[in-house]
Amino acid sequence: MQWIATLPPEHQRTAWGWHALQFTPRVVQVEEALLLEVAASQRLWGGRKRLLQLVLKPNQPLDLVKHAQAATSLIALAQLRLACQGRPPTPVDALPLTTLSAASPHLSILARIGCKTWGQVRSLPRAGVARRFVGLLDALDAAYGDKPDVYPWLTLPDVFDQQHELPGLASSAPELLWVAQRLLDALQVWLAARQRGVLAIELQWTLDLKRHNGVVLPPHQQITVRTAQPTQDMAHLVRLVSEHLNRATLAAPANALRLRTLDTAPWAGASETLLIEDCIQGTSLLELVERLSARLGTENVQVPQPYADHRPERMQRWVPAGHGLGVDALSPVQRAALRANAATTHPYGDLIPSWLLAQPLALSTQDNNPCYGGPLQLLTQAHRIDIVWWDAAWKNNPHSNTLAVHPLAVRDYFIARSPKAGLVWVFCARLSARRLREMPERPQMQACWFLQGVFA
Amino acid sequence: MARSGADGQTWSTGHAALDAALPGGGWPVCGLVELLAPRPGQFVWRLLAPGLSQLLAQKAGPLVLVGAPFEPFSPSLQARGLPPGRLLCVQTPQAPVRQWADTLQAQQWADTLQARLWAAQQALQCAAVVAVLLWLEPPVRTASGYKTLPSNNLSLDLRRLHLIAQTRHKPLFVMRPEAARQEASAAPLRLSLRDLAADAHSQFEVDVFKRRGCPLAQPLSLAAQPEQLAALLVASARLKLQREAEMA
Repeated sequence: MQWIATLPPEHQRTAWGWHALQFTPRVVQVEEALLLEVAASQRLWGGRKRLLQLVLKPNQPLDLVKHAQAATSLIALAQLRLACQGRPPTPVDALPLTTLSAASPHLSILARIGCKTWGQVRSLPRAGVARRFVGLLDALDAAYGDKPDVYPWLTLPDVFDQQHELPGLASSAPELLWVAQRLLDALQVWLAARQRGVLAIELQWTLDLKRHNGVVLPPHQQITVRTAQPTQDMAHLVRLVSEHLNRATLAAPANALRLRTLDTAPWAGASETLLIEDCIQGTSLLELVERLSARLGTENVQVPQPYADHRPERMQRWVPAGHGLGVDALSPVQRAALRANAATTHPYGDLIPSWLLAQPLALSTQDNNPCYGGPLQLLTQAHRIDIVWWDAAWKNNPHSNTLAVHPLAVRDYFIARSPKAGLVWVFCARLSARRLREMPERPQMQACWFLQGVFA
Repeated sequence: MARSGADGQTWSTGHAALDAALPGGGWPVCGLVELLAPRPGQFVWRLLAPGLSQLLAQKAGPLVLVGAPFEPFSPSLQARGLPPGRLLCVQTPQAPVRQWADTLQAQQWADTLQARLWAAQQALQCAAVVAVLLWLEPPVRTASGYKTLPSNNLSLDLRRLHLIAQTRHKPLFVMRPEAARQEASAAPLRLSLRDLAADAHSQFEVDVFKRRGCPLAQPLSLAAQPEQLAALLVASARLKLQREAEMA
C-alpha cells in the first residue's frame, strides 16, 4: 500500500478531490487532509515520483499544497501534520500521539502515564488499552497496517454545481468576476477529471434583497454562457463570462454566486501539430465570433445569406456569424444548404447596388421629383417589381400607409444620380391599378419615392 | 499573385493603373491602408472588390467588415467575387445599424469608435481572418457634408492596429472622412477617392497622397461603375437623347 496525504486549502478541497480522482479512484477526505491510495495506479503513471509530480503539478488552477507519503493512510496523515508543524519526518514508533486523531480525547491521561509516542502506546498491554481508551487500539492497528482501512471514497458528481459566498455584497456585475474565476477554476478541474468540454454554463447570483424600491425581486438572477464547440479553455470562458457580466445588471446587491454546467460533451483533447503551416499564431475563428458576439450581441455579428425572393430587401437574410461561417457544429443538411446558397448568383449582379437599405428610406419630393441630397436625376428606364406578398409586416399593421410594404403596390426601380450621394437606387411605389380594380373598396394613396440602395 | 520586393510583399489591386502607382505593385500584404472617401461607403467596393476577390479565392477564411455604413448587398457583392458566406459583418450597438442616422452625440460616437477599434483588433488577432475593413466615418451630417468629431488618440489607436496588422500579416483597410487628410497617420499608404464630374461621372479619381517614395504627381482615374452598369447607363442616356430628338 502507498498513501499520499495532501493538505488543500479549505475553499479548494472539493476541487482537489476531483483533481486527485484523475490519478486513482481511491481518494478520501479525512478531517483536514485529502488522502490518496496510489499503490494500484502508480505504475500506470510511471512510478511513485512521477505520479507525485503529476499530482502536485504547479501549473494548474489549484494552489500548491503540502504533502506527505507513507505506507498507510494514518501514517501519511501523521507525517503531514508533523510537516505542517515544521518538524522533520520521524520513524513510525516515534510519531507523537498528537498526530493521531483517535488519541485526542485521551491525550491528557496518556501524557500522565508517560505515553507520548505511538510506539509507547503499542507497547502497553492490549487488553487494558482496549478497555481504557475506546477506539485508540483500532486506529493504531489500522495505522500499522494490521487492519484494513475502510473509507467512504470520493466520487465525481455528474453535473458541476458549486456555490460560493461572496466576500462582500457585490453591487455591480463585474464585481462577481473574481468569485466566478474561482468557480471556473474548480470547473476546469472537474472537466479535466471527467474528460468533458463545456457547451453551456449558467452563472446564478443570489440577491440580497427581497424587494427594492417597492418592486418584488426574484431570489436569483442568472446569465447563460454558451460555446459552439465543447471547450476546456478557461481563458476563453473567463473572457466570455466577463463580457456577459459587463453587459448584465444586478437588480439588487448579490451575496452568493453559483456556477453549474447546463450542457457538456465528451472532450476529444486539443490536437497539436508539428507542421509549420498549422502553427499559426492567433485566436481561432470560433473564438473570435464568440468574443465579438459576447460583447456586441449576436445580432451585431452576422453573416448575410442569399435567399430566393424577388424583393431586394428580402434577397438576403442575416444569420448569426457562427452559423453563417460554418464554424458551429452544423448538420450535413445545413452544410449542404450553406453550400447551395453560396453557389447561387444573381443574374443582374452588376446592375444592383452594393449597399442596401433594408428599410427603404422615404424621400421627399420637389415638383414630383424625388430628392436625396438634392433633386435626383433618373438615369434609366423603370424596372418594375410586383410586391404582391401578404407578409407578416403587412399583416401586423394593415392600416400602415407606407407603400413600401403595401401588398398591392408595384415598385418601379430607377438608377439615379444624386448631387451629393452619387449613384443611388430608388423606387417609386404606387398601388397597382389592375389590382385596385379587383378590390371592392379602393384605398387612395399617393405614389411615394424610396431610397433602396447606394452604388459603391 | 503575391509579389515580394523592396517594399515588402504586395498583392494586386485588380486595377492595372493603380498597381503601377503603388510601391511594390499592389496593396501591402500586411499593415494599414487608409482610404478617404467623400461620403461613407462610396467607391469602396469599386476600389477594393477586384483585389479582395482574388485574395478570398486564394485563402480560406472570412473578410471582416467593422461598422459598415450600410448593409452590404450580397447578390451584388457575389457578382464581384465576394461570396456572402465569407463576409463577417460586425456592427457596434450604438452605431446607426444599417441606417443613415442624422445625428449622433459626441460621447456616443466616442464609444462607437472604441467598440469598432476593439472589434477590428480582435479580428486582426484571429488567425483565420483574411482581411479587415474598418469604417471610422462619423455619421454626422451637416449642411456642408460630413463633420469630423474630435477623436482623442485616434492616430495612436490606428498606429497600434497597424502594428498588430503587421505582426499578424493581415491587410487592414480603414475608411475615414476626407477631413482626416490633414491629420498625421501611421498608415504607410493613404489614398483619397473623389468623384469626377467630367465624362458623365463614369470615372472616379484616386489620389495616392502618401506612399513610400515620392507622392503621386497626377491623380489616377478609375472606372466608377462595373462594365455592365456603365453600358446600361450609356445606353439609357442614348435612348433618352433619341426620345428627346423625336419629341422635338
